Amino acid sequence: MGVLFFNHNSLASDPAQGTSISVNASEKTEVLPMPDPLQGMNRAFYKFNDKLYFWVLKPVAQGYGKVLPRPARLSVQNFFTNAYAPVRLINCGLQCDFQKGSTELSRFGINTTLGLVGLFDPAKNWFHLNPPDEEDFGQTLGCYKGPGFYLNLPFAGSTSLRDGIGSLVDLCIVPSYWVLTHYPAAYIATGATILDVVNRTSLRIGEYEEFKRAALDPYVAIRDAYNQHREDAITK
Amino acid sequence: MHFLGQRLLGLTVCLLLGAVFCSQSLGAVVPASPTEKVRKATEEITSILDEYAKNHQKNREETVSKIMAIADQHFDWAEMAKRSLSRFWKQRKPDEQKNFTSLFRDLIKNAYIGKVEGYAGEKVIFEGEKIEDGYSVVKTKIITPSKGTEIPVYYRLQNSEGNWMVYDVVIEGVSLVNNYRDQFNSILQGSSYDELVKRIQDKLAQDNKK
Repeated sequence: MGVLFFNHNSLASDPAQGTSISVNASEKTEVLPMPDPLQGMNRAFYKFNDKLYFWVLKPVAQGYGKVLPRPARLSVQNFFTNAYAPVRLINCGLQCDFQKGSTELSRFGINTTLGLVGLFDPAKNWFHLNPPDEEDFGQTLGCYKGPGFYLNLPFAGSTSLRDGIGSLVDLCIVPSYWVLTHYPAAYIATGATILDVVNRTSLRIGEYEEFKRAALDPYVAIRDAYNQHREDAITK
Repeated sequence: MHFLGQRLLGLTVCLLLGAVFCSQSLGAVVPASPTEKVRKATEEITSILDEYAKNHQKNREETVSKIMAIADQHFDWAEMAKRSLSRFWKQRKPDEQKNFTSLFRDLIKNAYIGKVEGYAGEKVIFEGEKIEDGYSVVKTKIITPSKGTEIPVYYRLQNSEGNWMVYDVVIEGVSLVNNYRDQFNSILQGSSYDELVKRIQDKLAQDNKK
């Protein structure tokens, strides 16, 4: 379900909320490198994902972007972000972050109704309820455990032992999973997932290219960026 | 499903502004606060980019060198290079350190600042600073109205002789210096310093060909 290198939640989040960073003398904030005992396999899958992006996902997303104007694609993205609210909400609860949880709940209520099943974001635009930093089960586990080791999986992209397990748990909370397990709707769920991936990709064409261009070793750069980004998300 | 990775991929523009950001007025008498420095730099760079856009992106080389001149005033390249090499830095002779610093600067120039075409009227919002023991963090958010994205970018500065200089840029929790350090380490552990230098030189040559 992953989008190669991108996570499913994207739109404008408000990272300022509840963000605390410590300025320590020099580098106390440093993140330890993630162990990578399966580097051979991970590199092979990274190559696969890289080709998948350039040969399949990108051309498809570009074509899709030509057909559907940007505002419509932003609405599709809003819809999926809203649909995943239960995952974030439950993980806020598990992390005892009730303030964030209540924001998620209010946003979900407002956007599902006034926002026409989540296509629009009146919670933000009218009620100034900015999306909080997103929570998932990998982060919930991260309160207790380190990442284990790095994994780069076909189609899914960067993850870790801990976050991979977290994703499987989250999957059980995602609405599409329930649809998926009740046959005739399986096609719909799969289609929805593909739509989500293509739609999000269409809104971020060029980002992966840029990231890769800046890197000396793109595989290591992505592994480290994933590691740092997750550690940062856990502390929020 | 949170396989992430990336919004940070949106680095380009962030750094473009970001990297660029820290400019300060010439001849300031009172030492500027970290935020003031970053703000001034951001304004100067934004106006260079606006002009570049107005001129239909004609004078690219000139624009890049103008931005680099501002970056040079506010980035402590030697400090960045040193941190990115971490424990390997001390093993290098002074002239090697100097050479590596210039390679590092070119790497950043090509990767981010050279991407002036990516500018799309981004706005920078300042969200506060923290200062502690000669170090500071300036928190900003870069907003791209046309894309509806907001990306948190933090600048880490160090006070060197009364002057705040940037030594790291952190985009969505990902430190630029740490990211390069992991890449350099991985090459250094598998081969040698000479090989690392060669890989960087090859990459720069390849960038310049495009």
